[in-house]
Amino acid sequence: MDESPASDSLLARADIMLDRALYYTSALLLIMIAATVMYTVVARYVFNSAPLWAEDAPRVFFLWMTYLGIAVATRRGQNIRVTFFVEKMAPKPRFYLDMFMHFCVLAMMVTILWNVWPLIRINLAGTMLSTGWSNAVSWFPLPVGVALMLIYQSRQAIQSYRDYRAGRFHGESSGLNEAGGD
Amino acid sequence: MLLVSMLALLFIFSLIGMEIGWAIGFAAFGYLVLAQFEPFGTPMILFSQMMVAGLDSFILVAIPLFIFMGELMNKSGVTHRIIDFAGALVGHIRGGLANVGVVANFIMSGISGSALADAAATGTVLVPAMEKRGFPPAFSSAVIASAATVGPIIPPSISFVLLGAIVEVSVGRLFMGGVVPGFIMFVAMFTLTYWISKKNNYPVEEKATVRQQGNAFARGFLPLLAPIFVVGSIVGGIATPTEAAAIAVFYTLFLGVIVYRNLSLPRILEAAGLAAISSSVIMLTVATSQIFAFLAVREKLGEILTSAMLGVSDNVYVLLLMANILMLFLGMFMEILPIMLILAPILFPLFMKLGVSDVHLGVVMVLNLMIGMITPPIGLNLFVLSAISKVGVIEIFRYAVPYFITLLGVLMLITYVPELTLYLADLVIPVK
Repeated sequence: MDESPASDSLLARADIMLDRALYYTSALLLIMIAATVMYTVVARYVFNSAPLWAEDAPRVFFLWMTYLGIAVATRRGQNIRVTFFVEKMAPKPRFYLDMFMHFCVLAMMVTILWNVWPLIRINLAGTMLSTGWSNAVSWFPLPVGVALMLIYQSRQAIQSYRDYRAGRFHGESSGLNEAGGD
Repeated sequence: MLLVSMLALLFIFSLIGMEIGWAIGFAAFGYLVLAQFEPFGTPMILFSQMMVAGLDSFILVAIPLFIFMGELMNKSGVTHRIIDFAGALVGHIRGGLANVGVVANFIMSGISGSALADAAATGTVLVPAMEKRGFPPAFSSAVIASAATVGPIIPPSISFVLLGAIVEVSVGRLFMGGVVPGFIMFVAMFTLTYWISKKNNYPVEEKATVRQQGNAFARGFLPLLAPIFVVGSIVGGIATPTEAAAIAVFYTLFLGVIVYRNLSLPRILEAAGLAAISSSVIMLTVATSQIFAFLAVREKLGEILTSAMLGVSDNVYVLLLMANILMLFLGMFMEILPIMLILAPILFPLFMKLGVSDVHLGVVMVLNLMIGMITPPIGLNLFVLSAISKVGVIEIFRYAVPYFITLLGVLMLITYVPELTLYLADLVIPVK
């Protein structure tokens, strides 16, 4: 594997660009939710006809926003966790515990990914009457978001391992640094 | 056996530092893995299915919109306007900036709907200011952490929206049900702060002139209309809670872009990004909690809990006391969303059969969980204030004990005098 500084820097830039792309896509999806819901209210009271997609479209945007947003939160270590007890542990057991938790979350994510495909296949066959979109558009955010989280969780585990080997591990495997973390 | 394993996994993984959303998910995942060894075990596909189906609800869309509104308010400097207004109003009364914190949180509660957001917004401004004026930082943190618990009781409230989605209670009635209890909490905490400050001779601010008070009111007046739009549109049957949240977002955009002229496109995008991420973290917990709750119900946790409670007494007042103790205990160790998602489908049917109103129980439940936000080891408001003031969580709690006891008193009052919750709800939105 090529680990030259140039490729590291390229990967780091790509990583930051992906993070920003996901962040702003989530932001735009939220703005779209607000706009579509507001349009529904205006259409109902001003034009006397609420659009058919009034509830379906915001729900689809919401699912995409949520799963892309969770991926960003995972990368940035913004998920809520309790560190009250682990902070009192010595670095070595804390490191093993950290690795064990990464393993558990990764196993769960792989299972989610494995089991979502049959659901997507079933839903590809139908379409939403209100929007004409495939039913699967509501199911795709899950594998996309979980695949991204899988990448970020793996990288956090690798970063924890490297930090531990370098004697820098403080048990804060919460988020990857701006240079890409690993 | 499977149920015990699932509950044990939940507690262990929450306490050893796994992300809360994933800890709940892992407990359910552990259940499903173990279930594969049993005849007719629950299929693993259920997990993936509920991760989508559990979130595919229009009412849940209201939550990111309320958070977005709160972020936009912060970006347009509304927090400072409200603190200035509160300062002009009560800064000169014994308690000074401490009571400004109580009043500011009471006003903010009508805007953001989230205790954590209110604690962070007012704490960032007031804790350093109070330290400069000579208040002990642990006391300042305790006041703000406690005062912020009123956030989800006064409408609009993210917790009530979520509860409405879980147990199909009218969100409008829940909003109305929270008004009087929220006001009682505010009065109780204001009085307590006054008394503590008098006892310790904490400083007061110079009294604002009528002109200064008028100016501060004028600066803070327009944001105060946001909760009126939200509640008014729901109560008036003009909009659903999700639509009301969108109306509030656009009203806030109008304030920031047209009136105050301090919201540029990049700031709006930044606010939307922050709201989307905060909401996503909440939604992960909602999704995994729903899987957990589904499996808990399937394992008859509701019946076990119900018969255990009825085994002690069938008196509704004793049962309410037991439910309060259970929620307060769980609130010490768990985040509020999973408790609500797991317990609401169990407690609501039991108490509604006994004649307790869903709105009354909803307000009691949220108030319990808010008290959990100022109790260690897992009191999220304490953590937020600890991060701001750099004072330890336990030290802050030491100063928060009088507030904790006061809020327990309010909880008992709200629990045993249902009229305090139901009067306004029945008056404004009568049950059909």
